[in-house]
Formats: sequence, C-alpha cells, structure tokens
Amino acid sequence: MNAPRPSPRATKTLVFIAVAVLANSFGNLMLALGMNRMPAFAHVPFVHYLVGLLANPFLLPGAALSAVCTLAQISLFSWADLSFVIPCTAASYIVTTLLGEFILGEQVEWARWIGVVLITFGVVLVAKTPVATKPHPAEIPC
Amino acid sequence: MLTWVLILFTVFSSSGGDILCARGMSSGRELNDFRPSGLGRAIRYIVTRRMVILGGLCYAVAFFSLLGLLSVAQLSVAVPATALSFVVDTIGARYVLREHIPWRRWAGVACVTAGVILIVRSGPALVTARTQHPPLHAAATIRSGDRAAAVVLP
Repeated sequence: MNAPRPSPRATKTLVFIAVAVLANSFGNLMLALGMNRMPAFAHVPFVHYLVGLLANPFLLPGAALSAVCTLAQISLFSWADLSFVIPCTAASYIVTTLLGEFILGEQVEWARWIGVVLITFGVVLVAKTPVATKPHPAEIPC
Repeated sequence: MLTWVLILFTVFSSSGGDILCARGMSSGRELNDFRPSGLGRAIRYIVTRRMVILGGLCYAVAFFSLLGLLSVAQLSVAVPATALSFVVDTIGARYVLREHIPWRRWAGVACVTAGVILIVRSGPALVTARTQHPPLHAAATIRSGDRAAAVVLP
C-alpha cells in the first residue's frame, strides 16, 4: 500500500512554510547577534551608530533573511488561507527556542518548553486542515 | 491606559497588514514559477500589488507602534499581548476574507497563541541581553509584522 502522493500545492506549501520559518528564525538569530555587538544607542553619535549598523557583519544578512521570510509568507497568500499560513509560521518560535538552547547554550526554562509543546500541537492541528478553504478566483467558472 | 491603546494599535495594524496582503495576493494569480528566471517576476508582482503595498505600510506602522509600546510598557506585558494578533488574524480571515475555518484550525490557533504567550513571557531567547537601549534592541529582534520569534532582554 502506497501512501497517496502529496499534491503539488501541498508540497509547495510545505516548502514555503519551511523557508519562511527558517529564514525568520535564522534572521532573528543574526539580528540578535548583531545587535548584541552594537554600542549603546545613547552612548555614541548617531552617525557612528548608523555606520556601525551597516558595517555589522550580522545585521544586513539578518535583514535579508527577514525579507526572504516576508516574501515567502506573502507568496503563500496567493494560494493558501491566511488562517492556515499564520499559525503554521509560528513554528519559528520552536526553532528559535531550539537555537537558543542548543546553539547558544541558553538556559531554557520549563514554561518555554511547555510553550514549544503547545505550538507544536497547534501547528499539527492546523496542518491537518485544507491549505485553502475557498476556490481561487482563477478556478471559479465565469 | 496608553499601554493598552498601543497594544491594540500594534495588534490591529499588524493583523491589518496580514489581512491586506492576503487579500491582495488571494485576489490575483497563484504564484507558481519560482525558478531563478521567474523569481524576479514574482517579486515584482508582489511589490506592485496595491493591497500588498498598503499591507506593507500597516507592517511599518505596527513596527513603530511596537517601538512606542516598548518604550512605555514592561516587556513582560507588552510582548505577550502582541500574540493577540494570531486571534485577530483568524477572526479577520473568517469575517473579512470569508475563509471557512474548521474547528481544528480554531483549536490550533488557540494552542499556538497560548504557546507563544508562554514562550515570549519567559524571558530572553537567543541573546544574552544588552540593556542599554531596550526598545530599539528588542524591536530589532521582534518583528511585529510577522511575529518573528526572538524575544530579547530580561
């Protein structure tokens, strides 16, 4: 017995959600690392701060990843429901927590792990619903 | 009082951005060509749709509203409260975009919202915090527009 093949749209949805989630999580990781290297805003002249932002090796790639995340999410809206996409992209909170624990060696407290379990459960529930619940305009017969 | 006004403003402008972008994209064609040659066309298509531009403006408003919020409110109140936008998004999807939302999806959204609140209220992720300029620093890592993950600071 073979499992039914996923439809092209289901595969595309999975890929785009994965791209949005990973770009978001790693983008945030880079922005966080970058901002951690910045001097205090109030302690340096504004121009120095601006130059520091642009010269920072983490901030521009971090911003680029954030842009990738936004474009992936907006692309998803062209075929998937908003109420499907938004909860699924919350999986980025899970990835971020794992990055904090296993890459940066942060102490992740138990409340956060409960949050991870709840989000995982919520994303699984949403992922079991159809990607789109109304026909796309192009599919509506004239 | 100001805190709650700013929380509501942040949540509604962020969700408004999501709803406008979704309306703008779902009323057009389905994107299918993501080869390198088609990618530029897809991006041009996205950034020239009127509703998406308006949605982007809403995201910008949400970002600055979040900055304002972080300057007047405690992070432990302000950031979890912005998780409300998951609920507002879903209600907007139901009543503005006319999506049919099965019970599993409602239940999933409830779990996700509760989970996000638990995660963001419990302190720093990703960074050992720098506290000299909390609002700017936090805003750089919390993108309210799409509820990005990292929450910074004690």
